[in-house]
Amino acid sequence: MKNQNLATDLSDDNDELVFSDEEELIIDEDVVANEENLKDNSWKILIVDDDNSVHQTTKLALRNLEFEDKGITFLSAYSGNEAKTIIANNPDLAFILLDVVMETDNSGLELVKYIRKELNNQLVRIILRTGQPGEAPEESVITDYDINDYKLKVELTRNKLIVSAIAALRAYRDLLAIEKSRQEMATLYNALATVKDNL
Amino acid sequence: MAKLILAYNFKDYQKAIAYAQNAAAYQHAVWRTQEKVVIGDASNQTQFINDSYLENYQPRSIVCTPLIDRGHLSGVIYLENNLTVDAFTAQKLEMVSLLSGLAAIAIDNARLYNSLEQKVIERTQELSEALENLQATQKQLIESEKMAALGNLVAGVAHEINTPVGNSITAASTLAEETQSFATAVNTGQLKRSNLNSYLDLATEASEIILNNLQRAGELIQSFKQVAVDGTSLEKRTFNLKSYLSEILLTLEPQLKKTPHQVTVTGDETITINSYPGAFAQIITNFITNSLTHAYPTNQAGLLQIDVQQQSEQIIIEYQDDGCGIAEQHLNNIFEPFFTTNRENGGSGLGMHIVYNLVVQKLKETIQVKSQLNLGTIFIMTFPINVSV
Repeated sequence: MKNQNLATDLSDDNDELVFSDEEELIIDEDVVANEENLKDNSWKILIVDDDNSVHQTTKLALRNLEFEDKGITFLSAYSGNEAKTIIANNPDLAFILLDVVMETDNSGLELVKYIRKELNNQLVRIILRTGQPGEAPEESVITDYDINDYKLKVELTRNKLIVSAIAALRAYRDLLAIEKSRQEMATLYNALATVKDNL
Repeated sequence: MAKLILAYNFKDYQKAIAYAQNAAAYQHAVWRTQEKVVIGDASNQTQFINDSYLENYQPRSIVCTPLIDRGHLSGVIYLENNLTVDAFTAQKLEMVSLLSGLAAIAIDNARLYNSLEQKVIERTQELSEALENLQATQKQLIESEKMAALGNLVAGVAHEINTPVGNSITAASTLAEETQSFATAVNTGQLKRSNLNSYLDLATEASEIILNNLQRAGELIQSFKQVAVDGTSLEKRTFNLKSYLSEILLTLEPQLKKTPHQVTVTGDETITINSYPGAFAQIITNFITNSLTHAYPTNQAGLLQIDVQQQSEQIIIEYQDDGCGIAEQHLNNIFEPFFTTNRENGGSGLGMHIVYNLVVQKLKETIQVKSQLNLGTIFIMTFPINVSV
C-alpha cells in the first residue's frame, strides 16, 4: 500500500490523519530482514495446551517480545504426547508454557517428570499454567516437581506473562553460560590429562 | 423362687397365704439339700426345733419335696396335714413324687416360655432399630454420592471456565497496553502507518479472542447453572427436551474430552415437557458415567447415543452405548442399591439405583434395559406426555 509522506501537523483542526515521515520501502525491507534475522537468531519457546485459544492468546501477548536483541519463535503442542516429541527434537528450547490438565488430569505434571528425568533436560525453564488450582495446588507442586514458575491462567495479564517470560529467558541464558563454561573446563581438563599422560 | 402351697381346707389356706412370705426352715433345708423331707409327726421331730411356724400352727404331718427337672431345682412342694400324724403314706408320697416331677417340668417350661417371649420382643426391637439405622445410612450414602457427583461437576466446570476467562484476561490486557502506546503515539504525533496497521491487526485479533472466550464461558456457566441448580432443587419447569439433553452434555465436556468416545443427541426437536430437568440431568450423567467407566476397555472408542421420540401420547428416551454390555444374569440386579461388578474401581453400585428412583418415583416413568454382551446396552425410558405429577 502506498504511503504518502505527509508533514507532521500537531494541530488537530482537520479531520485527516497525518502521519510522521517514514521511508516506507526501506522500513519494509528492514522489517523483512529483521524478521528473517529474528527467526535464525531467536529464543525458541513451546506452548503446551489442549485449548487452541490459549496458543492464539499467548502468541498475541508475546508477539513483540525481545530479549537481548533476539525475538521469540513459537512452537505448539496440543497434548502431552505431542509435547514429548517436540521437546525431544528441540533440546534448545528456552522455556515451556505448560498446561496441567490435558488428556488426563495430570498430563502436565507427568511431562515435567519426563523432561527432567528421561530426557535429562535440566536447562529448559518450565512455567506451569493451570486453569484449575484444585488439580495442582501451588506449594506442593512447586516443591515436588522440578518446575520454575507456577501461574493461574486467570492471573496472567499480559504484563505478568511478559515478566514471567523475561525471567525465564534470563535464567535460561545464565544456565547456558554456565553450561558453556562447564564444557570448556571439561575440554581443558581432558587436554591437561592427556598432556600429563604424555609426560 | 416359686412357692406352691397346698392347703387342706379354707382355714389353712388363709394361714398359708399369711406365712407364704416367710420361708420355713425345712423349706430352706430342702432347697439347700435338694432332698425330700418327710416328717411323720411334727411335734416329735427334732430337726427343726424352735421354728416359729411349727410352734404357732402345729401341723402334724409334713412332706416337703423338691421340684427337680433335669438336675435343676426349680421349686419346692410343701404339704402339711394338721389333723393326723403320718398322714402321708408311702402311696401318697409316691403320688407326690410323681406330681412334683411333672410340676417341675411344667414350671420350667412356663419360665422358659416367659423368658422366650421376652427375648423375642427384645430381639425384634434390636432388629428394627438396626433396620432403621441401615435405611438411614443408605439414604445418606445416596445423598453423598449425589454430592460427590456434583462436586466432580463443579471441579470440571471450574477448570473449563478458568481457561477461557484466563485467555480473555491475557488478551484484554494486551489490547489495553497496546491501545495505551497507540494513544501515546497519536498524541505526540509519532504515529506511523505501520504502527496503525499493526495496532489494527492486534485489536481485531484480541477482540475476537475476548469475545469468543467470554461467550464460551458464559454458555458453560449457563448450562452448568441449569444442571446444578436443577439437580439439587429438583424443581419442575417447562423445557425443550432435546436442547436440555444437549446442555447436559455440555457440562460433561470436561470428562468426555479426555476420552475417545463420541456422544450424540438426536430426535424430535419440538418436544417440550413440564417436568423435572434436574432428574434428567442426573439420569443422563449416570448413564454416561457408567458407559465411560464400565463399558469400554481403555482406548476403545465408543459411540453413546441419546434419542428422543414421541409416539402418540408417549415420549420415549433411549440411551445406548456400543460397549461390552451387561451379562444376562445381572440385568435384573442393576437397579438394586449397592449392586456393582466393579467395586475395585470405585463403583459404589448406587448410580443405577438413583436413576431407578428418579425415573420411577420422581418422573413416574418406566425404565427398561436391554443388553447384549459385546454389542452394547440400551436403556429405554417411557413416559406419558401429560404427566400430572
